[in-house]
Amino acid sequence: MKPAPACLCALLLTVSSACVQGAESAPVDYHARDTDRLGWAAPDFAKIQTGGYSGLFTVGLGYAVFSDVLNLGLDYGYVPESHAGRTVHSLTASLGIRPFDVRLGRFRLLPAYLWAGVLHTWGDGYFFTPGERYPPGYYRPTAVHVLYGIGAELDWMPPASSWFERHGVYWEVRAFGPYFVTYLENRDELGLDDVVVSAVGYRAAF
Amino acid sequence: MRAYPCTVAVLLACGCLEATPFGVDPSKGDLTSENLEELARREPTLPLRIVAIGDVHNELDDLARTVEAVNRRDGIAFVAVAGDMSDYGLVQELEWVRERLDALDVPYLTAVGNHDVLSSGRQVYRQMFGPFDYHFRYAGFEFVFYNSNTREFPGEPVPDIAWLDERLTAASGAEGIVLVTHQPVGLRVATLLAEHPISLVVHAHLADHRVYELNGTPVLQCGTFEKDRFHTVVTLTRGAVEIQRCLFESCGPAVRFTTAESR
Repeated sequence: MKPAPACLCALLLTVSSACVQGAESAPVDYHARDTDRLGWAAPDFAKIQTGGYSGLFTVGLGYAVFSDVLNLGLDYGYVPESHAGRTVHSLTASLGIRPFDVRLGRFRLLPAYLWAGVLHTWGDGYFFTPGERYPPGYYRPTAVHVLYGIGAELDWMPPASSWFERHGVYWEVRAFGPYFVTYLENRDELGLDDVVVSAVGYRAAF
Repeated sequence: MRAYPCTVAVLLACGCLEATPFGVDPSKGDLTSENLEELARREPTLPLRIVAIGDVHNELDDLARTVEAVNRRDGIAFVAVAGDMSDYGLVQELEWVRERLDALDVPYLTAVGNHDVLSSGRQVYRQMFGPFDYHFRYAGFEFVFYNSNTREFPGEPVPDIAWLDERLTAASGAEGIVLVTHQPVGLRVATLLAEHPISLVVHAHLADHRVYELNGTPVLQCGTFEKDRFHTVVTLTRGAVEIQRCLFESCGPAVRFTTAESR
């Protein structure tokens, strides 16, 4: 793993640990969508995930703002060489828009939310700009691409004594930018099922 | 909660949970070798007729129509694809193009394009197709496919002039010599054209379909699928080449060149 992403993940974990140590426990308000018990600086959720182009094994932290209507996340994804033919490291920065939920006692269902991300990877052949050998704009970046998605999430709210605010499982259907464009330009040959994939994960809010 | 691992297992099994677009494991490999073996099993006929296509760049609808049109033509020996099958060199892009080319009734052989070696494309192309430089003889004609993407291989001998020179020298006795590559002919290869009797150079990379002469050698610039979607029927006989530009089922008039003989 290259130094820059490792330092970024370490920084996120350090900030979240410092905020946890200083936090007081507060009663859980099951009607609130995000109580921010640990303070505004601490991440509001962590997740583990597989699929969705972000990695075979993906971990992430994020912030919930505007009462969990917006989620800002940063994930690190890893794919071993045995799975992809080469080791792949990636970062996904994302924005989730989650305005709708349905309360069912201790459960909360988000039937549909919008998701968009920027997927970054690195290695030989991956660049933001191709270098001085080329005139400006010769190649589009290969190290960063857009992801689009829609998702659904089912949360369970534990008792007030729990350190966690919510435990959730989610399923997102995602498209990779270049492939989605190829689909739009080749509707005779490609179907939506050729370009969309799933991501499934567990999200813990605290 | 018991349903969750079962759901994950089902999704993993069906391939719906794609971990990364940046992998390098194509579902088929060694396609150059496989297509050459298929070509060797076919009885050559003269005049030798091949089809050349240029930059596909993921234009799959037009590629599929072109494949259907080529399959309706009689007497085509193989299809030469002059590079840039993809935009980003990603394995899925090359798989999509390969799936359409697999529908051809004849073998196909490819030259590597500059876009094909972006991302992890170098590794993908080598695994999916094979070497960047290769040659074969068919119907008495020597075909030389070579990597001409100099900027994408800094510090490496691309094009490999020594290898090209060796191949062209060894091709003496052939009915003719055809070079297939992605980039237009540069100064060093132009020197080889003057030293060896080449029947035809086929390249792509540039948008327009064009037929011209360079140092007395006919050159076919295939054009790109993004612009015109042409494919070109090339008819080779000893001492002559005919080039006919086609758009799906329709073809224009043939342009004829008298070529240098290799004997």
